[in-house]
Amino acid sequence: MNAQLDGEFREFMHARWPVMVRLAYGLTGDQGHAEDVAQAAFTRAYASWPRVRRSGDPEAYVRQIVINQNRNRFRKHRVAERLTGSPPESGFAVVAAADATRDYDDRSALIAALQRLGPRQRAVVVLRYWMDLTEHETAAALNCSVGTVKSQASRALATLRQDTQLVDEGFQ
Amino acid sequence: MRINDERDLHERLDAAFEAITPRPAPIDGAVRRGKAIRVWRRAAVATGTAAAVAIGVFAVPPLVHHSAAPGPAAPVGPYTVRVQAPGPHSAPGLIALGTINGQGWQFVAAKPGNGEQIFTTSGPAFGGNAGSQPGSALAVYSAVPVLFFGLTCGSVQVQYGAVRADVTYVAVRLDNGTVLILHPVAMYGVRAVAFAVPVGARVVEATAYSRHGEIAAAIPFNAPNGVAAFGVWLKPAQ
Repeated sequence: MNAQLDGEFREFMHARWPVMVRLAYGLTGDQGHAEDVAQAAFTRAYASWPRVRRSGDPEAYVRQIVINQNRNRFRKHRVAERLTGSPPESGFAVVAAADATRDYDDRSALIAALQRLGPRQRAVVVLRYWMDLTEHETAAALNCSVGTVKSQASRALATLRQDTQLVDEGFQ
Repeated sequence: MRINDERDLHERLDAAFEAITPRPAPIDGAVRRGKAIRVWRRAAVATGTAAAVAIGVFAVPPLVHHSAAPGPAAPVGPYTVRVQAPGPHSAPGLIALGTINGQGWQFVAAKPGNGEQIFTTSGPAFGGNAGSQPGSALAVYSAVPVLFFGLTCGSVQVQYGAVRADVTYVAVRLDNGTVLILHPVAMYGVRAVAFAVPVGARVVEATAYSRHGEIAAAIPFNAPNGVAAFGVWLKPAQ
């Protein structure tokens, strides 16, 4: 790969790294895993960079790898999601240090509620309501039908509405 | 916030995720590993081409031998592996020992002669397949930190090789997440390392370190017969 393509990739990764880590964090709930997943996605993007940039939307390519890697993680390792009263440690330490108590409580309650959703509902919420993908784009990214996206989004929102910890934090 | 307000949900998610501070983008690492993947792909294509040529050349007579050739390695189930360097009072020539799923193994090199060396596998991990076989004598190749050779012995893959003088240890990452730390052992004028894993386990990456940090890393091509081939070693930021 020539220096120009190499430079393009470096610029792209520098610019989009935080977004992909946050996407992976939204899906995994663990900052360490999120960074690993994002790095693996960018690595694969680099390995196919000439083709990826020809696609015209390298971000969509990397995003798809992040989503697939997360899905494979659940399939391969059968990750058992534990319901806990408090959010995961990593990431929240950063949040806690970053802001005042009230904001921290709001954010941590929301993230914890997100982690209590199933993997697919969580992915739908992150893609639809954080990344602002359309229902069609979300369906394509998750390899499911638009109807499934609609139903999963509806159920996820209903679950979030009824989440007692969100209610305690004044989310209703 | 009312949760049925999707715009508000977006803003709350935005605030929550923005508060996550990722470590700096590991661009050099991604580039290095991405380059290694490209090399790996080319090696895979070349191997496939070579295999196709070989089949084309030898297809007529040797169907009898076909079943005797090593077939593709079956995927391996969950496994645990350990490796350690021999202690100061170990037998001469012992490069490494360890366990695979709790069963012990040892890998020993005999004194070299005429550019050859006898390598011996022993221990219950090899089942009834333990034994000796000749190979090229261990030698340092200055272009790479470790010149790995691979062999299979029953359902076990052994990787061994001589390390360059600047290498203090080698970290080998496997597909189950295990990281084996290989400490070189001095013998017969070279320093060598070895490790053993079940055939079908994939070697994800090997990284050689000096006293000052990482020297280079290699992503091997895990051939269908279960043996990893280490081709290109890339320095950090390369």
